[in-house]
Amino acid sequence: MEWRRRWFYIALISLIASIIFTANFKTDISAFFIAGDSAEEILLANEMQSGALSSRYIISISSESEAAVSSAFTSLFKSELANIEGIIDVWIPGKNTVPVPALQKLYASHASQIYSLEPESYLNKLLTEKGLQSRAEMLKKLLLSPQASMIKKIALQDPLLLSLAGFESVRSQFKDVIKKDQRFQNLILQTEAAGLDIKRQKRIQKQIKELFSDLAAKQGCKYSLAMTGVPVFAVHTQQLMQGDITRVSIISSILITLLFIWIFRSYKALFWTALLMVAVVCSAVLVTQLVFGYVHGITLAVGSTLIGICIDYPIHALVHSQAVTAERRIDAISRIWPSMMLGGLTTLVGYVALGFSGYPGFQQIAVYAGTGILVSLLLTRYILPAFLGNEKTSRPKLVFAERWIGFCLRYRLLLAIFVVLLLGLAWSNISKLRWIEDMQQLTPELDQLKENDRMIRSRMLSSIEPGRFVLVSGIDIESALQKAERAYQKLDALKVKGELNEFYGLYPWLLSAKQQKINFQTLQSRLDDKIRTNWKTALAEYGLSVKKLGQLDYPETDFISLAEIFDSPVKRFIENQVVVSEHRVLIMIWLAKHQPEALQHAFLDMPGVQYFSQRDLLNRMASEYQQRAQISLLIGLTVIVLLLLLRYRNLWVTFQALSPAIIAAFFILAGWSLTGQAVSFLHLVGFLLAVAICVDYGIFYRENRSGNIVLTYQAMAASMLTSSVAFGCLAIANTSALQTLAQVVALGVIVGFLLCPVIIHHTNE
Amino acid sequence: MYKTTNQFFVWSCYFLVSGVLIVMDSAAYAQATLESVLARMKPQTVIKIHYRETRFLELLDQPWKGSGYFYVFPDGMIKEQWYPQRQVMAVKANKLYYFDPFADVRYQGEMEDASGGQAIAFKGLMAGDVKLLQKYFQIEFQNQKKTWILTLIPKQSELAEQLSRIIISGTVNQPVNKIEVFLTDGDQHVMELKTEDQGNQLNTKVEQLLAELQSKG
Repeated sequence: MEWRRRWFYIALISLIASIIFTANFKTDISAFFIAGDSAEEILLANEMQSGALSSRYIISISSESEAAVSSAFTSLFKSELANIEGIIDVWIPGKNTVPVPALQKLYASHASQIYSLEPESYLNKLLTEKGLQSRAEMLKKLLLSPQASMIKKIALQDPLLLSLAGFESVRSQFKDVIKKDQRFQNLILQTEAAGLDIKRQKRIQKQIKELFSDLAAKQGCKYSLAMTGVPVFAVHTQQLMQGDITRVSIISSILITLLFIWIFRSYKALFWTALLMVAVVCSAVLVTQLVFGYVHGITLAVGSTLIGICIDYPIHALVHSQAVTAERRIDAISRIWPSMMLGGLTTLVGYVALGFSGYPGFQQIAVYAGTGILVSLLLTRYILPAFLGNEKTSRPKLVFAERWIGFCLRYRLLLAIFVVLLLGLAWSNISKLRWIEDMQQLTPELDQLKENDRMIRSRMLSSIEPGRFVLVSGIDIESALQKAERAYQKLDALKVKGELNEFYGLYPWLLSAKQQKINFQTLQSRLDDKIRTNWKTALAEYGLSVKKLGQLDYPETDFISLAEIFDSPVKRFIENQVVVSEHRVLIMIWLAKHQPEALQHAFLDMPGVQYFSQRDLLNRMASEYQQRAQISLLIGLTVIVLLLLLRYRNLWVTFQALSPAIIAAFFILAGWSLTGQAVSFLHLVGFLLAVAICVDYGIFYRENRSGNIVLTYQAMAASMLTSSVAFGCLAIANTSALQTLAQVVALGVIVGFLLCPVIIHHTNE
Repeated sequence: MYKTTNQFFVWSCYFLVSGVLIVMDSAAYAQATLESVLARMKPQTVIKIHYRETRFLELLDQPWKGSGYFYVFPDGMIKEQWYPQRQVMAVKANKLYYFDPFADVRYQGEMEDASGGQAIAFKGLMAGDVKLLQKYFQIEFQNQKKTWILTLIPKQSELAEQLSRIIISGTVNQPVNKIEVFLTDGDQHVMELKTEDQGNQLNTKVEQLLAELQSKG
């Protein structure tokens, strides 16, 4: 036995060293973010996590009185914000802040390619005698307007001002500025770091708040600051989780340690078990690291409950071994090993099923917990005996367990009838079980942030409806643009029908090469001598220089490309509408007020174009997770039943071992029905875990390998206490997902434990 | 999108400079330093000035002529063009306004939107802040026997890209009577000015014009 102990110490030190040198711990929430199923949804989810949109803030300054927010203060704040490291751009939404030289440089030379999506009808109107006269009149007006300098540069390249045609639609923006509520002023801020780069975003948010307070104090302004955006949600969620991880880990470790000391009254036993648990956690971390390349903070938080599960095996071993003399201790452990292994396997099934529930982060938890359970089982069987010394024989003093089993043995029939009645009551209520349909309800801890987000967005000048858009997907930018251009036609038709107020695509910023070619060819074919003469006449009529503007030379140039736009200051205007990956390009067409059904219906016959609602997507995912969780639950239960059947080769015995867990779980379901609590896939996941853990109690109680049912029940009580404490500690977390697990599993294991002596009849009591 | 505040801003810059300089008392130049003159620039009441403007533009066959009134007041000014057709434009505090009733086009923007440096420079003019003005313009002041000439040459690159120089001239003991704006593309604007009225009785007119500019259209 001595060599096992030595090898264990060496292995433990090696494990710790490996973790120190290789483990990569992450706390960003990206790994636990919801990912979609289709290529588009995955790409979109990635974009939401790390794209241009994710690194954008909306900052809102509001006046605490009825007075308007001073534009001088806004300007100063805006210019100071730009000096914060990591902020690459700040602007006031709704303002036309396109650097004009960039616009002129970018588009004037491409005028003949970008002037319209319907070149024939556009030119039909423009190239008439009257159309040309009105264009000359417009040109003169513009040359005398505040934009004269830019117009002059454009007119020298593009006398017909074709390059401005598409931009006419944006004119109304200035009117919007006048209509806004002066008590608020929003700013948009673009950061260099991705929204989920918590460390940098946290610093930026702190600096923004400090800067605002300083400026407001210096200027004597009574303003308040609010901000929203992916980085705000990310930092808040990360802080929430980090707090949960720390709190849950510390409190559950302390409580389990105290519980252990209270049960065994032996510091040596505590030390051995602690060593085993360190080895269990280290192995779990290392395997998770090897499989995923990193270990997530949430895995550690949920995984901390693992100690409460894994410690069950040494506890069973200790209770049984310490009840006998020193020389019979190894035999005592060997005797209960088959029960432990079966119990461990059923728990493992629960965690593996959890991995298949669809929630991305749970896969890591499954690997982490699965490894922990296996390692704990093996260490209990092969290493723990090496630590068992010659301490005096003792038995845990869990009086409540002794009294409860005594009470149950005496009044078992009455209690069984009571359980059956409760089951009947539960059955009659189970149909009232309510499912959560809106995924937003899964994160009530973010309600305040969501309300803040809604409030800030309501102050935006834009009429764009957040989270709902037309999603165009193509294998490359050209194919996506061509599809988008067909979609614009449908959207125009919907506008005419009154089913859509407005839409914002990539036109006039970018057109497909195909459309640019058509535009160019159409223009060239239409510019004949008659039109050139008419144009000169129109110029002369309005006193414009025929010499400088009379030549309608529109030479062929390269098509304007996305790369060219992304290389210019115009990038800001479309970067949040285009997602480019190696094999797929997505274009988002933003929508103003619209009728969702009409939009959904409009694109049914257009492959690669779909109406997209983020909220619908999340709710669909919730529904899919729920279905998967139900399937996982069924598969998990089936595997557990099969394992038990394989072991007992008797249906009745299998049913007996399983029933405390199933009935406990059923009571919990009935409890949710009675209280009207809506149930999500997370509840089902917890339900499965509760069953997987509770089955252990049924197995231990049914098998009673020590031959002493009171001792077996004492061991079960010790293990139930650690499991319920470990899971119960999750209730102090602020993350509602962890609270749900706490509620379901802790309650499940307690009820399952209490039901064992009521349901399973023992012959050798 | 072409109706951006940038161009609007540059255009309004020399409009603003013009307006500010219109109210300068030329006599001050003959006796005082530039600092003391600028310190006195801010008008204490509304001043109504008639202007005649001629633009020599490369793309027009004939020079363009326009006329109307400036209303200059303590924290801004309004240019109301009456000929060849009505247009109203104003600068008040940090805001720029433009309204073309014929085309039904309105603009409203922050001066900082176009260029912080330019705005600061013109704010400097309004506030008589010579240091700030000197940061953005090279200032040349010539005081001759009967006339004086003030030349502003932009230092700041964005402004210098479009604006070559502004020459303001007048006769001793008379207000500014001519402003010439030279653009880098060769175009030129000339404005001849004559003060018509001043006093608080013009406040109502200023308020009407500002209300027209700020209305929702």
